[in-house]
Amino acid sequence: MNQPGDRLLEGSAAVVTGASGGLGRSIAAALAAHGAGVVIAARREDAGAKAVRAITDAGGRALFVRCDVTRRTDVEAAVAAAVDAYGGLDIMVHNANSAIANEPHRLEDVVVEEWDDVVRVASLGAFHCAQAAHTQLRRREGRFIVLTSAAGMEGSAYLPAYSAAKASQRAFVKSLAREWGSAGITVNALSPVAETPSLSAYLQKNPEVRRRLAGRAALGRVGDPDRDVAQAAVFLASGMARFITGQTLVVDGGAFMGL
Amino acid sequence: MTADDRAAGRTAICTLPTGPIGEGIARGLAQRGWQLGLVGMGEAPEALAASLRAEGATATAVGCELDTRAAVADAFTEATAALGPPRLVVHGFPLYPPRLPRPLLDINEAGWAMACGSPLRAALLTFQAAFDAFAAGGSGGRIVAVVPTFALSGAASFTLQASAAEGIRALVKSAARQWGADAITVNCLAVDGEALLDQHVAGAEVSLAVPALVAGDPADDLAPAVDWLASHDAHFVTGQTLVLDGGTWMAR
Repeated sequence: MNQPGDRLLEGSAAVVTGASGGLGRSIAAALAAHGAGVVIAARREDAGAKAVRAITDAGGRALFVRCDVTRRTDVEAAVAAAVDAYGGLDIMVHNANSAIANEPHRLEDVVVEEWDDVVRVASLGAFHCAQAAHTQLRRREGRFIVLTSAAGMEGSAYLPAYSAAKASQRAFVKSLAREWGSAGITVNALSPVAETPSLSAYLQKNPEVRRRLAGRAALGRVGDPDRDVAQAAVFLASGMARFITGQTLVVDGGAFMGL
Repeated sequence: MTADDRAAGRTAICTLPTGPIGEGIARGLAQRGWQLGLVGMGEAPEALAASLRAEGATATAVGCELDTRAAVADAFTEATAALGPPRLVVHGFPLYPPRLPRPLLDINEAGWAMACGSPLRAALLTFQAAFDAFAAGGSGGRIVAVVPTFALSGAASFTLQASAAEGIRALVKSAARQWGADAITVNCLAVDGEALLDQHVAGAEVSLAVPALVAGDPADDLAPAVDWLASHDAHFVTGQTLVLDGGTWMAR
């Protein structure tokens, strides 16, 4: 029986979108540390190669596939790479975000092209990931994990487009969990707050935001992507979570408790 | 209706006022003394406006695809020219035909755009047009977005529509946070998802829950709640979802 601390994903295969940096990279590294072969599916080739090297240097298995999740063929190529290299696919993690999603904006000023970009990376990306991965996932009673945000649950005074896109992920997860349960596939959402390098740079410049973010969390700090958050993705991907589906796991140190 | 409500006027713009729910809310608002601008695609808004006028209401239809900011702004300008500045904007939920359950694997990218991308964009553009219209009026306003309850519950084979609906619900919350200072409240009305479907598939297994109440006429079941959200009495309610499905979904 699996227990925390074991290598939980020995011999399995994963695709993580948006894994060339930030939380996606941490999740990919954590899956690899638990024995999964990982496809780093991302747009940035240089950063993707670095993420691969960090995993292989630590003894893990990883490869990079250039992937824009709004392009169906790119996502299919990422899944095909997992099948070629690792013999199948057990875990699909859709983490990619639009580059402009985290720029604070006023709703009345949002231009529709930017809105569409945020929605397409999140929602169309999830759609492509689901369709591209389904055949493989159903062979292995696989896991589909989608990153969401408390902004999608409580709205955001700073990031309305991001909040709408992230909310749409949760209903997607619930609906698809109902639809694919009979195929043995679980579909869940992960709602983190993690101090990724980009958030860290922002918080350095805006210490009052750090105080506010940390102050909201019961544990009194912003999470570390590797130590605090990525392990939750490992859990959802593992056999320990085999009877959990359609749920949102909030991993933010006890900031959002509205579920 | 309070003196504040009378002063604020009784003009409402209903976007995408189609199907039994959208038409019922519009009819109920008309019965409650609202004069209506009906903004939407195809022939439906004009047919509804004509039917409401025949019942003695003031209603004007404006055709609009709700796909660009300029198009929605023009539609709101036309409705406002005919009826005066709106106090209330009711945004309907577009379930594109065929309104049938459809497994995700059977949908192509154009289907994604129709079921998810377009509804989200239409909500953004409607909210922006409402903001501009309220700003021009100078005394704030009320936005009510109608979504199916499967935004909250999820529904097999309605995955993309549920995604769009829940995205709209978050948009409501974010808009409420940003526009509270402008005296604009933004709320959601969650209605029975099955009621939005085509008649012949009503009863599709969207939810296993049994409603506590029997649904009647949307004009009677739903419009009073919209009327209340638009009233002065509801001025402190924003970012919320009122679930009006007769007590089916209670797990929020």
